[in-house]
Amino acid sequence: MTVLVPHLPALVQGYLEYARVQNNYLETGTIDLSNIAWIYPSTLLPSIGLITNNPGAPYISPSDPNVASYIVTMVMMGIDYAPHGGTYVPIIAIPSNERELDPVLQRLYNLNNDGREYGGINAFKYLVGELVTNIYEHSQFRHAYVMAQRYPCKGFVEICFFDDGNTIPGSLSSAGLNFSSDVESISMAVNGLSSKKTEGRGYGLQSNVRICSEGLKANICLVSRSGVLHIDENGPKVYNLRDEYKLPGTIISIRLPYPAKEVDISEYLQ
Amino acid sequence: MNICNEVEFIIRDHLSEDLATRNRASQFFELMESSRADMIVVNFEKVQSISRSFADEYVKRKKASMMAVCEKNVPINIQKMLEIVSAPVEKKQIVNFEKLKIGLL
Repeated sequence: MTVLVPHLPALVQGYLEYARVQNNYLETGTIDLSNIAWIYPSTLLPSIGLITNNPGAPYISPSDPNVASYIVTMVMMGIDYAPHGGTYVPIIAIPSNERELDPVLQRLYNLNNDGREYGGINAFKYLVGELVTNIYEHSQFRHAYVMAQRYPCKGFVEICFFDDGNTIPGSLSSAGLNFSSDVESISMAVNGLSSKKTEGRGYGLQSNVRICSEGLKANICLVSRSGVLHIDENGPKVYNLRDEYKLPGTIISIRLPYPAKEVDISEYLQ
Repeated sequence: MNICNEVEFIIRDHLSEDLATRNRASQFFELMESSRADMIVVNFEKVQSISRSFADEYVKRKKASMMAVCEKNVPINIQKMLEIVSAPVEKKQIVNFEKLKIGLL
């Protein structure tokens, strides 16, 4: 049964901000961020994907100069930039050649103090390692990005992974695993279903969701094609996106308390 | 006399202190196999983290390998992960999809 929803979790709202930009682009051909007053990674990363996949499209930056310069900062800094005492880190592009990944991950870890305030080194690196593995194994992306943004005054950090590849429902469907809706596919993937049928597969995404929701008390939102799955301490919520809001890719956004106490990840791996 | 050809690989030097993806584990085994050694020692000194995917591939490749592979200087968190993937448990249902109402956005 499909119902209209009045109150939406913040990460879902973040994606919808992007979806409206995408819808406007499909109607007008312009990527218009002028109405965005405050941009979170869950809006920013897919917007960057839209811009990079449509390089000729006219772009209108946000009217608030602070937001506009924030975007320029995030996009232009690139991987070699090291902020001094800043609360943001640049967007990190995941290289298409996996052999080039290790120095990129080291950079990401260094920029985020190895995740010490994000649930500890083990939890942060496990999270990144597994989600990036999934991107390489299932996505066949053209562009993939990761970023983490701290909001010390608001008491949280938002970590986002975006890729413009096969999508979770697309990947499962290619393996003959078809479901009634995209959000059901995403739910099955979180429950451990994998397009690779060998033993030992399907644990990565599931363990990450458990570490986030049970260990870190974080909110996690997975958007892939027309499905949205959001999990927080109150449990899972599922949504279908209308056609014009469909994401040609996957975004996984995590919002965790900042600073977050160290978590023993082994508890959530078995 | 039986002479055993033993080679040690310091995994951090070949990959990273953070062992992230499944394919990197695979590539590491290809590298070790190209040494044509009978006995391989994988030195995990100064390795900080390992993903489940990396550990799973490592254990599978080790089982399937013609070489004898053993580890040394394995940090506790890495050892724990290698043990976890060696004895996988049944997956937990996190989303009971049938019970959920689907919102339209």
